[in-house]
Amino acid sequence: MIRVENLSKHFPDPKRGAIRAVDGVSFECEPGQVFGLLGVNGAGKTTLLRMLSTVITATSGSASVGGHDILREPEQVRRSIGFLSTTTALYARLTAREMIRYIGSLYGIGGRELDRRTDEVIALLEIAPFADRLCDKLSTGQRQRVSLARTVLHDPPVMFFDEPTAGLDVLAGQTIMEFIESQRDAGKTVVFSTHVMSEAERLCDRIAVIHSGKIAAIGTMEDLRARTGRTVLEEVFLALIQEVAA
Amino acid sequence: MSAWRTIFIKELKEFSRDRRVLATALLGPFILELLLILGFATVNEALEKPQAHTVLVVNEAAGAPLLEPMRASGLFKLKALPDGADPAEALRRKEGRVVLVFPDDFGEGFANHEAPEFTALFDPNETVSRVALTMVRAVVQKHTELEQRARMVLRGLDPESFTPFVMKEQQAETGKAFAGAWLVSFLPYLIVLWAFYGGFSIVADLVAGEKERGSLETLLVTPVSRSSVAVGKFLALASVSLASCLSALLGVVVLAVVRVPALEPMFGEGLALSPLSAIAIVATLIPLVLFFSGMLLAVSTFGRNMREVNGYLSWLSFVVLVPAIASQFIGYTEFTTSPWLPFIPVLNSATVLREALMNNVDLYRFLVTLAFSAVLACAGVWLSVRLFLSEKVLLRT
Repeated sequence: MIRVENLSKHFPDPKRGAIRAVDGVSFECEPGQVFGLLGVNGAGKTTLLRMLSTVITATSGSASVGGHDILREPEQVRRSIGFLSTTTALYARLTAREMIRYIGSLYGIGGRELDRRTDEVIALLEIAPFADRLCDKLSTGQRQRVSLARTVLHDPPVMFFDEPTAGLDVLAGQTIMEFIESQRDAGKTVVFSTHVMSEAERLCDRIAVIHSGKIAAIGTMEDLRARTGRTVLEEVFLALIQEVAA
Repeated sequence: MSAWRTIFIKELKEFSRDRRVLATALLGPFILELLLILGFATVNEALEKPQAHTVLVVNEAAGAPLLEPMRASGLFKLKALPDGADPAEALRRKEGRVVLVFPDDFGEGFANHEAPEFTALFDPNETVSRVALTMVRAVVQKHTELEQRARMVLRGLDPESFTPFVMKEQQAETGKAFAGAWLVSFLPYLIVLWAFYGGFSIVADLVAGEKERGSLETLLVTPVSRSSVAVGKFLALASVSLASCLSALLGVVVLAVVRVPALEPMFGEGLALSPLSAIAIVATLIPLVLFFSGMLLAVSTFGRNMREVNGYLSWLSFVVLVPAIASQFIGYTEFTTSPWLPFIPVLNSATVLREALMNNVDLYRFLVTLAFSAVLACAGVWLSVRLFLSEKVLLRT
């Protein structure tokens, strides 16, 4: 479960002063749910997810991920999350299997347990045909499967997906979507960031529309439609961000 | 297994699969060392081989008493300057390196035991002309002494009683050097260079490359502490740099063992290294490599991308190159005994390496250099870890 309270991140900028990349964001996300962060590029989605995964520290506010405070227990937070985005890459000169095992070792998994978990995720994501090929030689779709494997190898209760389908073809994108659904069905807490409305509509139980670092609205699809009086998601989205801009 | 070890092993595994790293960091130093030493040996051999310089002569008949011993020395090709030719113009056109101008009465004066004058015209702007003049001077000096003795004997004088003193030159027993003098002065420079440039092929990729590709974020979302990531990468970089130095040293050892004839003057009687000197070399190299690795990793961490890092590395090269080059010439100066020398980074290590190769380690200089280099190495590690902990630096793209 994730609890976020008034979380902010300001970046100092010599020309423009402090940039409020994330500004007083609060939300909650329960296990077995997909919580969507819907916003245009630069809205603050990645910064928010980076704070929650403790890659960067928050300027103010608080949050707990999987029961661990992001400021006081960053290591436990990282231990309980899986993080995937299209920008998180693999090591070109490791094979798919070595890549998965390497990440597993960094999570402190070793010996037979590592063998067992590696074989499991390789089977789950159908990596076996290319498991011993260098990551450099894999197709985009195959790479994305390996990325998914390293994300779930340690069986984290919380999953963050930051625009995971960006740049992927329909088939590879479909694999990711199905994978996220399977994680939700397995009872995991999933945060899914996207700017693609159809993906949000398909996957998310609740959606936070984020714009200029602020949350414009939170709710189910129905809640958001009711609030704006629009039915088409793009229109709902535009109406909500116009409220923030105003 | 601790996280830093996992990262260290993974980095080494990736390096071992990168042909570029194998070629430039491991095989490169070995091959370049072979080529450099062979190249220098060839040049050195050519320089040391006596070269017959062309000497133009005006009035050859008159100069016969001096030209005979010059011809006999085999060091000169004597050529008569055509009548009416301008000696200076002949020098300018490099028809000869020196022009000897004998007056008509030179031979007569010499026969009468007088001191007839002649002129040696040379080109002060041409090194070869100055070298030829020195050789002419030596032959003239030798012949003058012989003639002086002959004239003394003719007058019933004992030439020995006119000799005020005799200097005897003797080589002191200061220990057997690792190899010939040239190699001993040149080798520390090469070793220091490889300690730095050994890591060049991988450093930009190590952190800035990971930032660029996005794989750094993969690492940062694991529970591993950032200092462990920094230490793992740092040790991998240091290992490659150290391997480069050892590869370069191996090149020297191979050349000494193979005994190439052209290298005989360079290696003398082969390689000689006392256990203390061997320990001093390794002990000096380790903190130096750690210091360089710390600086290089800091640059890679600070850079936004590989291109930016390569720009910084060019500047950093000068910081290392200047004292490394100075180390080649320090043996010609009195600065080798300065108490400040052990506190000049890079130059201090190169000096200790040189002394170790001469099997003549100064314990004070060695220990102070070691301690100071260790402090710098710690500073390098601290700086790279510190930068790794700064999200502002680590995530700048």
